[in-house]
Amino acid sequence: MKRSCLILIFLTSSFSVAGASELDNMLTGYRDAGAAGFSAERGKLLWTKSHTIDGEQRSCSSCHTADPAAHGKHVKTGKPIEPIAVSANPERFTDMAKTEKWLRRNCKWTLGRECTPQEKGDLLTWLGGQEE
Amino acid sequence: MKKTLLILISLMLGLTASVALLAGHDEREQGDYHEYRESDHDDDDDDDRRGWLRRIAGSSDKGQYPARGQDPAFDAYRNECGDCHMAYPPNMLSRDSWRGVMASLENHFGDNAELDAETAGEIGSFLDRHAARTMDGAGTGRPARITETRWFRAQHHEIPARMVTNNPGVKSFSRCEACHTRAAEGGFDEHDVRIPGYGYWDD
Repeated sequence: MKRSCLILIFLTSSFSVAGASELDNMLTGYRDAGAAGFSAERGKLLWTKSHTIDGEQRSCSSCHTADPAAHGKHVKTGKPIEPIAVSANPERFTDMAKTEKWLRRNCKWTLGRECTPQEKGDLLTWLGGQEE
Repeated sequence: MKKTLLILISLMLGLTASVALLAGHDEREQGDYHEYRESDHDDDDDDDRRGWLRRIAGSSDKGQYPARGQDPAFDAYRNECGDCHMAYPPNMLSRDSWRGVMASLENHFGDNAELDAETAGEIGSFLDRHAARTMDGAGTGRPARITETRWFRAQHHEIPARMVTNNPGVKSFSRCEACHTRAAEGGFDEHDVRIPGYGYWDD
């Protein structure tokens, strides 16, 4: 009895560890890196904000469109881009290395610098559709 | 009875022999086909670029983009570079040009295509291994565009802008696969060209 109880506890705990999504892990990482609470509202503002880089007006929506649940299109090459919002594309933000790679590239292209952990957390909170 | 048996045996032998002959013929035909794909028997220099994928991936499956190549970095190359555009055959640029490309991924023709150091190293040596060994006008040490190389221009100079740049179905010469229907497998034979809105190309 005691033994099966232990097995049960073990199973439940491992389940809850697996239940923490990759997105949760990333948000935890940003908090550990100094970010405060995250806001979907701030994420949305960052998404639509336009920046002048190399004489071009650039924003996230240049390629992803203003609606992150819509299909996007690369502003230059025309490459189709799957929706970035988790609600429309559950594959998004399930791979930390891939997410970080694209955040690094796209923040540098759009803002001319890397995003801060706070900005990344706000963005992912909005795109993930989860409010703290 | 004995006679019937003999006839039967000789019939079977004959059948086996003819099947073997047919099979041999098939093999020869296939061989010829591959040879034909390797070289288009004209006097230009594009034969070297044919079949690059098969050489790297060790596969001759027609119409197959192999999942794993003999070169262990093949997947990394195809996945990382093919994420944004066709993973171009590495022998379309010289080693020098590829080194230039890999050294400037942060500004990759106006886009940021940075990679982590490990992946960049893996892909960089892959390109070193499979780059064009001899290529006129491409060994400049800067990230040349494939479309600016002399061989590319020689191959495409007859194609008017309305069919590519001003064609909404193509938009750019960099989108090989828009017209070269077998480009993804490394097939750039003229017979496989279908220009969106125009169809076959015959020069």
